[in-house]
Amino acid sequence: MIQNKILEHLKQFDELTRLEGGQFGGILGRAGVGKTAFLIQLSLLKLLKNIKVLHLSLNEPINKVCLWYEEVFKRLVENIEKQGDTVDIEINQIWEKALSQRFIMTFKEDVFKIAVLEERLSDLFEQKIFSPDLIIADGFNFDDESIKDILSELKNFATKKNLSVWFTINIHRDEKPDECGIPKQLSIGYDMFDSGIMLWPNKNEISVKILDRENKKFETESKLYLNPTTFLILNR
Amino acid sequence: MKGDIKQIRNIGISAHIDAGKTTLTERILYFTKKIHAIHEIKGKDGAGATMDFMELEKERGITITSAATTCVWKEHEINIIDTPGHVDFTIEVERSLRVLDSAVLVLCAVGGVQSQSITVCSQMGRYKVPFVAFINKCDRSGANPFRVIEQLHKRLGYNTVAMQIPIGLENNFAGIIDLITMKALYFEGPNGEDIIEKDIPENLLKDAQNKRSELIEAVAMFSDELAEALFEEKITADILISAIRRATIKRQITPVFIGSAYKNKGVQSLLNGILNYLPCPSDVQNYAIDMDNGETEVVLASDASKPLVAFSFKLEDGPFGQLTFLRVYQGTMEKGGTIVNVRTGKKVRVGRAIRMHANQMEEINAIPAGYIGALFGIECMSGDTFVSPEINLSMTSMYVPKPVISLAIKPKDKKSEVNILKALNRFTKEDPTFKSYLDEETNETIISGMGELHLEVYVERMKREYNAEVIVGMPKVAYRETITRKANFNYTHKKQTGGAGQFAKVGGYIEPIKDVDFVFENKVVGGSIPTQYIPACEKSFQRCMEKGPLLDFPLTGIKITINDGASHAVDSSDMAFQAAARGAFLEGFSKAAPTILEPIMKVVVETPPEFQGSVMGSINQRRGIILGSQDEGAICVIESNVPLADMFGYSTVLRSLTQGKAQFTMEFSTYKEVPHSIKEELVKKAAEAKKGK
Repeated sequence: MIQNKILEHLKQFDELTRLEGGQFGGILGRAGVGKTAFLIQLSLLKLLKNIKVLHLSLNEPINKVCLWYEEVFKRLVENIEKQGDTVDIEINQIWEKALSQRFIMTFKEDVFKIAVLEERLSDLFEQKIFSPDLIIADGFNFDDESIKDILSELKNFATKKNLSVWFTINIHRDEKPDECGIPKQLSIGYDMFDSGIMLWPNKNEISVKILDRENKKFETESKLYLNPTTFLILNR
Repeated sequence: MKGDIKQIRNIGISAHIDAGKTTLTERILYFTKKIHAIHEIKGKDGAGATMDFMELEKERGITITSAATTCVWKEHEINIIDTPGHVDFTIEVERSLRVLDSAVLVLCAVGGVQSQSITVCSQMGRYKVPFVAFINKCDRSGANPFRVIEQLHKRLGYNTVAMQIPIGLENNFAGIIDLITMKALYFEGPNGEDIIEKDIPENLLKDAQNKRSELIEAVAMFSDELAEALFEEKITADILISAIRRATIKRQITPVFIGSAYKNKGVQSLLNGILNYLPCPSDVQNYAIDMDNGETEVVLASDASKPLVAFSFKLEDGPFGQLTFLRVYQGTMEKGGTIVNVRTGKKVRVGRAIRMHANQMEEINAIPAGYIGALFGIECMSGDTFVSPEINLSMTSMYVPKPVISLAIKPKDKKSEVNILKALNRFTKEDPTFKSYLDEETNETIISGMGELHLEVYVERMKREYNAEVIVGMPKVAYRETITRKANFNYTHKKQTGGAGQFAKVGGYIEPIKDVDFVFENKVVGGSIPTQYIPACEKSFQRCMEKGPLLDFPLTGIKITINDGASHAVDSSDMAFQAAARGAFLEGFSKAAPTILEPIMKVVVETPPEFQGSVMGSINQRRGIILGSQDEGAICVIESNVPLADMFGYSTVLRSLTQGKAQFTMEFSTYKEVPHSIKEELVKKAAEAKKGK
């Protein structure tokens, strides 16, 4: 089955990106390195495992987010060896199922407040429309000091609702990290993050470095890497 | 008609449903002495408001068509078009705003900015129409004009300036304070005809002064003269009025007036505001395209002596023939003159010219620049430009939104059949948002429009005006059939029992294909099927695509490849191979896991956030998949994919779920396989229909 093949292919990725309820994970990288593609693959993986995902995006319209998913899913499927007459039917079924587990919410950055998010989500809970297990958050501005308050509020909310959250965190080439090598954008709310992944361009691929939380370093290089052309996660 | 164009105002009255447009217009006509008695909408006297002249309008208490009239206030001629507030009749607003110079946006002091007020504002923006706002119903419980001013600013981004503040609200609404003259105005007499001016009550003086300061500071941003006067503390009423007028015409500010049309308060002040702050025809620049000069833009002059340029914006079929409403932008439309329809190139002689007052006509000899009038006996379409023969300018047409809802209709009896056609011909000509066509697949007459109310009104008008009664149903959904896997076929058509026989064999495979309806590929080698018979095979396969074997729905997404076959020297023919191809198709189709597809619509709902949950629930109930929601502060946009079969009647449901504050758009997205339960239901219905035949 195609679904099993995709899950098998992304098994290590799944282990790397596991979070408990109330925990935060950050995907760091410079602009254009592939954070969103990484995040979308993370989301698709969880969706295929029947985990309900709320995709939260600041400033991007729904259409654009949908296109990201379609494109990444298409590439994922192309990358898997397929056999049999019913492949297309199966792919459609997987896709439909994934869609039914996903909910996209987009906000304009200037009107976004956690209180508003809570209100919107409460509507969805109460009406039994959608109840996420995982939030993936794209487009938050970690350069602004006020992100700490947002993270703090979101942490309370996520803990209360037993939700885990993965963020994309944009870092800058010309900025020096702190003495531990942790980018400033993550340092701001470091204590709130339970997991971190750094995407780092490295010759012909994009390396995936894992945060050693205790020692505050991004050193361990995972066996996973990103193909710089397709931005698909691959295993060495 | 007034000689001085500066004393003309062409205005539209627009708003959300029930904000009070028609009542306001009735009061305007009364205070300008155009009418001598006030009639309420659906009033006890049964007469109905003047501008609602259609019987249906009087009965339902809604404005359906826009109506034009003219009145005189302080030696200024005001030409008014009162428009409907329902989104279903949006074309009336669209065409009116296209030809008017300015508008009065009426808002309810209780309801505030509502969905259709938002639509009307975007329509005014489209045609860059300057406007003033009138916050009506200040006598109602819950009235809060300051909240409405804030909404206009925050939700719609207008630079609102309060021109007045209320003296009391709700039951205690007694009058208004004019912030220009700094006087309190009370409206007394049996119908508020007598305006009594007094000093501002002590308890409101400070508020009035603050509001006046806000007004001056807001306007001074756009007026150097006022800014200087403010700095020198020498502000006069004339300087202030002049600055407000200039800024209003440039759409830099929106003056806001308040009152209660029903209680006859504030209308005269609004009339003064219309004269003071809204443009005359020569204040507004209008453009046309020079068709003889590479379609360059040309500014039209509101000059009655120049060559004619006029725009037809509304057609009405009446007992005396077609009435064409026009706005003259340049030159003069004279009775007996010759004009050219730019679209058709035909010359037309101007017959009778008239001016309208609701449904009454006044014959005139000419329509000069800056005026709206109507002509009899001109064949044209809405949006046509008429010019003098010596020029070739064209005006851009108005925006015509696409229909969002359809209904199937059929005549109740024989005599209605012919009349329906006549009615549909007329209505579709008059209203570009109302469409009708014969659905060849289902053989039904389909009418489509902007909403259920829109279609309901036309069905009723067919009955009343054409004696054509119809039975209304829902259109049949345009399902499709397809296959989901590849299957081989190898079919022999043989009839060789004696005499001239038939023989043909066709082999190959059928497989699904995306994004196209049908593809045929010939991979026959070695002449197993003679070349001359290949087109017959292809033709037969194509014919099979018209009606599917499952339920007679058209087929889609099928590729057929033939790679083998056999023929007979004598008995093979085009006909034989057509029959073989048909058999091959049926054989392959049945083995290819056929299924039924239904149209899926992309549905986008815009709603205030408080109704988000209900709206999403309603979409879920319709087998919809919610893609997501886009939060834009005051409005939440919900995008979803919903089967068309479950969308009928949704506009009514949405309206009631959201108090009329939400709106939705719907467009075709894709075809998708129907769920098993729906397939069974369709098979059952098809079987019943066949039994019936």
